[in-house]
Amino acid sequence: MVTYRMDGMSRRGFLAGAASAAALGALGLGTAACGSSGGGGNTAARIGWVEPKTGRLAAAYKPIYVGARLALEDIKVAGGLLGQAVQVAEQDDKGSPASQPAVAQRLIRENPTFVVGPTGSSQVLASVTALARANLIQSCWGGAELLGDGDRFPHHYQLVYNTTQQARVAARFLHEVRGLRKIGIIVENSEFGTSIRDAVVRTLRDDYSAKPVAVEVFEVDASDMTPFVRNLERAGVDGLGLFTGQPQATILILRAMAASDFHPVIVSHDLNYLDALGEFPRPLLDGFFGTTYRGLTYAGDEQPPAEVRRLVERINAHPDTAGLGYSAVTSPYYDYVMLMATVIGETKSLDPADLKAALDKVDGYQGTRAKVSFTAKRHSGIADEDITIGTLMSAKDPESLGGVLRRRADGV
Amino acid sequence: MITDILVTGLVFGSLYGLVAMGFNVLYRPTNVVNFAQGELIMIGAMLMAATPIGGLPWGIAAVCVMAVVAVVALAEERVAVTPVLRRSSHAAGWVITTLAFSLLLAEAAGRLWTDQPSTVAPPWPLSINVNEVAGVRFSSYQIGVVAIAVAVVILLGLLDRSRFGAALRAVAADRDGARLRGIDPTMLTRRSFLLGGALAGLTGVLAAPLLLASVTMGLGLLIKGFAALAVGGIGDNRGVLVAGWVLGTVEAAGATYGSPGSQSVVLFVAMLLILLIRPNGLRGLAVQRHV
Amino acid sequence: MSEVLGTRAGAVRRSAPWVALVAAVAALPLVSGDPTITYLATTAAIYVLVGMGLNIMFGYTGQVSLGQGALVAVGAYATGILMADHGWTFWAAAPVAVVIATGAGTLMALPAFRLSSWYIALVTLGAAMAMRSLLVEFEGLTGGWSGLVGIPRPAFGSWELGERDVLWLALAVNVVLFVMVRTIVDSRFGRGMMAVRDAPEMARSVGVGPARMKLFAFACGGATAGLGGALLAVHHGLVTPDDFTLDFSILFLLVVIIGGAARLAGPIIGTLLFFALPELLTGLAEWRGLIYGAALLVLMVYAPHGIAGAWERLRARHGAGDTSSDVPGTDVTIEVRPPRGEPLGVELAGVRKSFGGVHALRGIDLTIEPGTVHAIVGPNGSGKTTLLNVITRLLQQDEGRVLLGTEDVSRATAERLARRGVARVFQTPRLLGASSLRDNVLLGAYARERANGPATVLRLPWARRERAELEREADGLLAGHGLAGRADEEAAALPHGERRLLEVARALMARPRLLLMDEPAAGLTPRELEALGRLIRAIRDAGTTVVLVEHHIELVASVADVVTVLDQGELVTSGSPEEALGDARVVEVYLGAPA
Repeated sequence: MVTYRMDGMSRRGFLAGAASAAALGALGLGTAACGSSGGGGNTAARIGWVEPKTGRLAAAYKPIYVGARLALEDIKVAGGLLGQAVQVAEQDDKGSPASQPAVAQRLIRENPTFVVGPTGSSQVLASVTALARANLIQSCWGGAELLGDGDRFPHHYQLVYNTTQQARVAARFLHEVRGLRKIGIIVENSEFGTSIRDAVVRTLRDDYSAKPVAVEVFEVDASDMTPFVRNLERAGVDGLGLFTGQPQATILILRAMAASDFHPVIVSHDLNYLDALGEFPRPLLDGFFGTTYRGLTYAGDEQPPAEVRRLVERINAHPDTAGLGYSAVTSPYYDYVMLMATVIGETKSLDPADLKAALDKVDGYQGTRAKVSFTAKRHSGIADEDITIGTLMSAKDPESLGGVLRRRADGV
Repeated sequence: MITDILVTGLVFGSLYGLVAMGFNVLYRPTNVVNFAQGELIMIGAMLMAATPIGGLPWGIAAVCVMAVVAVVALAEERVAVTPVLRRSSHAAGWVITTLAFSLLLAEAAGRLWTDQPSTVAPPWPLSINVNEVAGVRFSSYQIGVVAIAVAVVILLGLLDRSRFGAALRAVAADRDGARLRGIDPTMLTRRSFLLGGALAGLTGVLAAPLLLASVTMGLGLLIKGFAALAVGGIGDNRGVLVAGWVLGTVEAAGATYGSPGSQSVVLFVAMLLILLIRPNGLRGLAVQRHV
Repeated sequence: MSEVLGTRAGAVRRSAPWVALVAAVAALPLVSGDPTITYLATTAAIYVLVGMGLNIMFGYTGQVSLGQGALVAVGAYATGILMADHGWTFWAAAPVAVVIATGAGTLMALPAFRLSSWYIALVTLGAAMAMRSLLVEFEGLTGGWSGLVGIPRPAFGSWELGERDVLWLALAVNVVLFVMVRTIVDSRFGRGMMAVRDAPEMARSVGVGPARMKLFAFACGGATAGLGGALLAVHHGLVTPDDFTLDFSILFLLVVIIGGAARLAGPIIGTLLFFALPELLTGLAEWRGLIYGAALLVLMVYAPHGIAGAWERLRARHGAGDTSSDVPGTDVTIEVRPPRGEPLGVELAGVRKSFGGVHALRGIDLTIEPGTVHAIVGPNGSGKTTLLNVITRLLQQDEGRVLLGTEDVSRATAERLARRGVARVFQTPRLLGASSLRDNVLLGAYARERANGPATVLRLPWARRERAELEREADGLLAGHGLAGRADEEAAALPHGERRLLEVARALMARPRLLLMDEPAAGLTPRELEALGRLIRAIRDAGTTVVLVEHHIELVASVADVVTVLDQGELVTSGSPEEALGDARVVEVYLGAPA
């Protein structure tokens, strides 16, 4: 249940922190460097690390950073970067977009070799914009297409699929693979929700000359999803794109569907298996799919490579994972930190300009989840063919290695 | 369609009304609007979902949850309300202290539980499965929630007529004057917080099967409760329940017909209009102006 | 609060800490090369700005706003749209943003005319939520969830301001605004606001229109929020809906309350603390949230009036020894100055008033001759106070007519009557508890002080002269009541008897043509009673009509020209003291003797 955060800015969580944490918490002014490294020489690589340490999202976001922590272990075992131990300066962003400018200022002061995070669509946009003029290499978990624009944000590298890629895969699955013609969309009212809604509508129009039969947008703190689901049902929707960062919203939507035996094929972007899903009839869940990375899926006899399986086991064993292995493994940060280690090893430099030049030439780097390539203009690195559709219920298969990997949907 | 809207409006409106009744219970003796009420409700729902308490038979579990939340509310009264009122009953320091208390609850909850939402089964023999009777779709649990909200209003009304209620009114009118008449305002405040806490616990217990229990559920309910309180009239339990129903229905209608952005605008305009026509709440039970 | 009497040296001493603070903040970017510091200082300066506006609304006028962040959003978006999309300069866009935000603030105030303060809080909260939705809904204008990017910094021609120039700009705005707020708060407007906050009926009776005052306060809050928003937009270079969440709105209320509401320094201290506290808690990492909450709790419990309030109290306790000990007064004669015009008479015809089922007045016909002392007596519950309230227009009669002199005021407001020269002494004194005795007396002159808003803010010479004159008059009145040595003390610290004297002084400060007194003798010693009698006669002799509601029959007998007896909302008799008080029915009314 954390992947949903990846682009869906959790406004409910955010607002909830409102009257409490964020309001009192100085709007990110309380962000502090824990374990800051100070100036020092330029010989050791330093990593700027943006993660919510306080506030309501702190616990939920922890698994997302497990991969990066494992990558740090790997680097340590390999003898550090350029033979020096890596320093990490953690910044607390409280999971709030409003705190990003202050965090960005601290990052600029720290001037690390590269920056990990923040996470969450709105948080990322705020952070990347605030850092636009600083030459800090950064990768975040945010799916906005804009973030992969190398002209606009020359130092941000996107190691997650963007909303357009995601929308295209989802639309292709519903329209081509499953041959559904009455496609509906339901999204939350947030940056992520509205942008992926627009992307799906665009894809249907441009690629299939089709139009969705119903588009529903709900407020993230809506208490009841029944009205929206009724609207979808009335429109005769047989294939549904469901995009929200709120796990409770997903469950409430499914509940409203179960209540009226309305079982469309659903493509979501969250394949975490929540215990709360247990209450729903199997046919409804069997029709629940989600976009995911090819490297994290299996089909028939084809199993993910041994490195991925080893990583999954390490993730499962890590205390911070707390049962949220799917979120941990889909996080971009393991691949990102390992890619940076590779690039630093190759260029033998910690100078951002050298690293940027090298990153802009990365072609077909094999990450655990997908192949990654960049050009100077295109910083959206995930290859289209490595985005696929997984099934929700495969979380119960033994091949999922404890609910972390997913079986690919038939026909993709 | 219209009936769907009405059912949704009544059910969720009852929850909003219950939240507002919690405000009322605490407001009477203290003139404090408790900003931590949403988190108290969240604690109630989470206790039901994520602790061994939830494994007990529903009735016993509900009573346990209400007791625990009542104790938490009492703690709030001890550390965040009475000390402030004792030092200065007119300053708005309580805004900060109740907010701070809500922050403490939220942080503690964030430490105890992840934000994974949990379902809570409704009590036997009620169910959240939808039946259709004469074209109206509803579940037995929804009827239960509305019935309990109405029952709470009636109980609070009875309480109002008791000696406790009379003492409360005396304290609300004049805290110092009441003391001269042998009423101990501190004791009353404490009891009100126990009662208000229990009510928050009950609201959480009732909301959990409908909204799912999650650590983030507090604020949404707090704000809707505020709206019901404003529209219904501070101190008027029947008024806030009706207001909850009105707001719930407006919200459901907005979800069915309106664009998402217009929803909170529609709610706000509805609230404003009602308040401008009836400045003392729907039923217009004015607190007598003194001159 | 009163600055005028302070010496020049005193003024310098008082403003020294402020000058030092501004200088220190201004020097920050020069001393430290760290952009974070400049960034934080600019943000803090903007928050102080918005906090000062909210302090006028909440601290001084008592209007709780949980929607201040929405007004900042209006200012920021207006600036952003004008600068980024339409290429306006900051200097043109900011004033427009201020005007728009002022309009929005005024709009928010409309419910305040009818609703009490906590309803307003809820309404402003709703407004803030609705505003956020609108920001997303009008995507074409606001950029939806992505917001507006690429807002340039302010520029003079081709020279664009740097980060620290923006800080200095924000600081300069703060200084100007601080001086303006201080002037406003220390003027008739400030006293009027506090009267609306502390005692709305009293405010109306001295001529303050609560609706206008609230409107003014909301406009002030809106204007500062708009200005803050404009600065925020150019400071960040972008605005998104996520910048203006509910917590952002609540933040400003916290800053004001923590710093000290209704204290000039409140928002400044609150903001500084707000920025400093999390920094101090840095090492605590994940426990910071919990400790932060606990710290706020403890702070508020031990300093309920905020830090500035606690500081004032501390200083007051230290300086408590040197209160002058003149005995308030009995032997001092008060020089009653002539009223503003001819004495006013009152005529009531068929006035009825009932509350629910209780008939407080059942058709009263009464004429009060100008220039007399007219006493109204009767047992408790006979409708005396209701009658006073109808005459002063604090209550609207259900039926009947009220004439003031020759003018029909049956539908007039209390504020308007105050401007006509009607003053009132309440049964339980209604004072500005947190203000000085002098300010309380000066409030009485609200309706006759001519200085308008611009003249006050700009400190025009004639306004300052007027004010100095009024202060001399107020000090004279205070001296007359034996309170001269305590003119700068807080009114809340006065014992009950002297509060009443202060009320009388406030009423006289209005130079009333008609003065209504509600049981002024309650709780006075015989010597004080005698002095009161002399005072009432002196007021009449100076040319003011006095209406006296009183239980104390001896006082009534000694000062009244005419006595009217009320019982159960009906007029029993009216005549000279001897006639009226000797009337058999009156004896019956008072003693409950059988007919």
